[in-house]
Amino acid sequence: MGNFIIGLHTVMNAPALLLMIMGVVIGIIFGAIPGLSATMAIALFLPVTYGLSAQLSVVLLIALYVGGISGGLISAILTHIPGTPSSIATCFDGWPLTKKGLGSKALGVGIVFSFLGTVFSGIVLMFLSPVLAKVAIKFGAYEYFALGVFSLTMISGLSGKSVIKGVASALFGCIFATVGMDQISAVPRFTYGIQSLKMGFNILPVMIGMFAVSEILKAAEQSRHPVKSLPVHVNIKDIKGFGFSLKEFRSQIKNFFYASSIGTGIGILPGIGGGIANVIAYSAIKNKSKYPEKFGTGIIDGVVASEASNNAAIGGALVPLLTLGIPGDTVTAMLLGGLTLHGISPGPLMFTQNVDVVYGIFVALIVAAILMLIVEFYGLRIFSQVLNVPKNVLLPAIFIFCVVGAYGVNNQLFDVVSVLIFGALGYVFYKLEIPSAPFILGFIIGPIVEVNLRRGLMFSQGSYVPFVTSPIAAIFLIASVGSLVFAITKNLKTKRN
Amino acid sequence: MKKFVVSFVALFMGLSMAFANGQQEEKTSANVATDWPTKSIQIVVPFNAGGDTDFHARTYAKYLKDILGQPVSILNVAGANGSAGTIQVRDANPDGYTALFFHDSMLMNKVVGVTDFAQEALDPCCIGVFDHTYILAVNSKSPYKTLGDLIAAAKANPGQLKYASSIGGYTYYLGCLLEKAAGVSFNKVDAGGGSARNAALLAEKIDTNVNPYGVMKPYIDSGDFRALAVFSEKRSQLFPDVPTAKEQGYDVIGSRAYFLAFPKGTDPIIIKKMADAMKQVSENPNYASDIEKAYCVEPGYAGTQATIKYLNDTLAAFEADKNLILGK
Repeated sequence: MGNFIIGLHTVMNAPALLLMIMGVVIGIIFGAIPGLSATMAIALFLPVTYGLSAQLSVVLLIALYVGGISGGLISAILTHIPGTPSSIATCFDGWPLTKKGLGSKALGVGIVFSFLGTVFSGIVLMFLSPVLAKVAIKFGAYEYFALGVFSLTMISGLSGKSVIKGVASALFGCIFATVGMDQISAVPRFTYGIQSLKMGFNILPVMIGMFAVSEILKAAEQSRHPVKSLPVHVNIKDIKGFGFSLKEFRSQIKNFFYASSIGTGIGILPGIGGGIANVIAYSAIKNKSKYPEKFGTGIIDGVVASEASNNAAIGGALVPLLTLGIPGDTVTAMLLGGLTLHGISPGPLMFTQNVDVVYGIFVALIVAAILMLIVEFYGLRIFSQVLNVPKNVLLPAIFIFCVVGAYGVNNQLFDVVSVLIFGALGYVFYKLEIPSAPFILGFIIGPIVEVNLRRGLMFSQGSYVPFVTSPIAAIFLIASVGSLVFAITKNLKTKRN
Repeated sequence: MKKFVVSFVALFMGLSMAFANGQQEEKTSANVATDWPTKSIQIVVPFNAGGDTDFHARTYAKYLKDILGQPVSILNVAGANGSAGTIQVRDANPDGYTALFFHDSMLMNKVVGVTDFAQEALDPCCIGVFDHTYILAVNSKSPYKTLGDLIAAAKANPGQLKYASSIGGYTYYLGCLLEKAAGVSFNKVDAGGGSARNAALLAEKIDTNVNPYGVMKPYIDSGDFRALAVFSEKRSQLFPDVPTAKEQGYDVIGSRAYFLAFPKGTDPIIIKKMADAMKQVSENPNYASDIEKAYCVEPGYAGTQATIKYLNDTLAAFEADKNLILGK
């Protein structure tokens, strides 16, 4: 209990709170604008933290993180462009709701469940982190390989109408991820002697291209045959409470706990964050729902699944960071950098040596969630203003942000070229009705599977046996087979009908 | 309206040309090098923010700012094990306002074929820090109390003990050197970067891990890891309990030099000024306490000639061990 009071001391003072409000607002803006992400917000603010104390820096970074992850829902719901990879699945039902004229309800649900998801994971982080860390550390190469395979098979559940197209998309993602120097022996692959290709494609430009630029191309195509555009109206005065009824809230409690648990669980596994959590939680809740056919048509279950899980991944990702010094996703990787710059090495010792920082992070997470709830909901009109600008003005502006954002990742012009390449590819995918979410997942998970397969084989000196004799790996591999069989039989059934 | 736009564009173009002219004049003026620096200096770190290279560059930048009287900013250009940022600096204007902060991996990149050039394509300025703290650690639960125990176990089980490193990286090379010195063979496995390898050792997925002391310090302090040897000439003053590999009978020395380099063709006056400024930083006690706190490293500095010699010698040593590194 004394530790919590130390944590409160870290957060409950004027400079810390002011920094947190600033962090949440900037985070939401970065999250809301496609092409800018929580990762980028933290990357841009890391230099600012050099001048602050360690406590103030973590507080600011956590606020940016929470704001950035939840801000993505605004553009996902209102424009069908996920503001961040964490809100890819929010588009699936959020956008149909907006088309039905229920955009404000979707926003209300998204914000409230983002808040609840963050709080849920914050509580898990505080009370279970030592226990969960003991499970996560048992994951070695065999287990990661099996988990990766399992995640890839899960994609079939979210590949839309055709399992074949979904799997093809995922495989394309895996193939594009192999470009560049391989992660183990640094052998250049598919580089054709081009120096820039040695670095491979950075995930952020790929995502900006696939999701933002292709969307702009789509809009450009449609502008010749103008469809009646749907103005984005967010008038919170008309909304009672948060825009949804108590009954609707109650109907989502089960989904909420399910999604938050998935989000926190996936967040804990190093290397996988909210970007994957939201899609997996969405498909898992869709598969277990009594009315899976309604998913994608605009029901709040889909928004709850995505938004609760991606925010729950925050607390999850902090578990291995704080207890083991291993970042759970790209954002926590950057937090790790921020802490190291202040001479703090995250790890088991942090809980005794830097109590003010560790418990400051716990308290900051909850406080940031509360600030996010208030700021995002009451500032919705301002945040959505940017999306209310006519598309022919907004989209070129977003395009500029995409390009600048892509350049900002690594200060390389090559990343700008990748944005354009993947924008074109995303447009081709759209024309051929191939879903692009599996592509991104393949792009992220493919390398995890490859690296851990190769590492595992080095560990076992060429034997495949440990991949099935490790209990955790075996469970995931069996689950992979199960999810494939399930997807195929379901696909056959719908075809027969 | 149109007229207004046209005149505005004309004005803008005129202004930009004026600026461009101004810049050109600046370049051709005779006392450019003696005036240096007249604007902010950008140091390219060829890795992401938050790592050891980034830390050392930023710590230098913090103190250089006051000495040089101009801001010193860090630009992270990651990719291809540091060669992306290196190429960017190699191709930059040699005006003294772009520099590279890198370490021995630049040389290793050439040896393993990631790049086809090394220090000769740049003008090295000076070495800012030497990291002599490469240690070999095992999990405290393991039966190995000394480096000798570990080597004996490796002798008894050839090719079985899991030595974690990044294949083709510096720690891999150290493993090769240790194998040669002790006449054993390890199962050299890839287990990711610094923190991933800590986790693997914590979970006993690997038998031994080699990294700079600072990377493993928390686990050594907490009693999870046991440091068996440090690969340096003499024991570190910051962790004097860890014996050197040499005093245990295995003559393996490892170190990493973090150096600054300018694009080829930079004025020697600028290089000298920068080298002097960095020397001044390395003698600053505040700087020493910064790097000690973060990475358990003691200050070290080498001037331009010594740096070029170090880089040439190290590259020659790597080249000589090329077959060892490439596993041929």
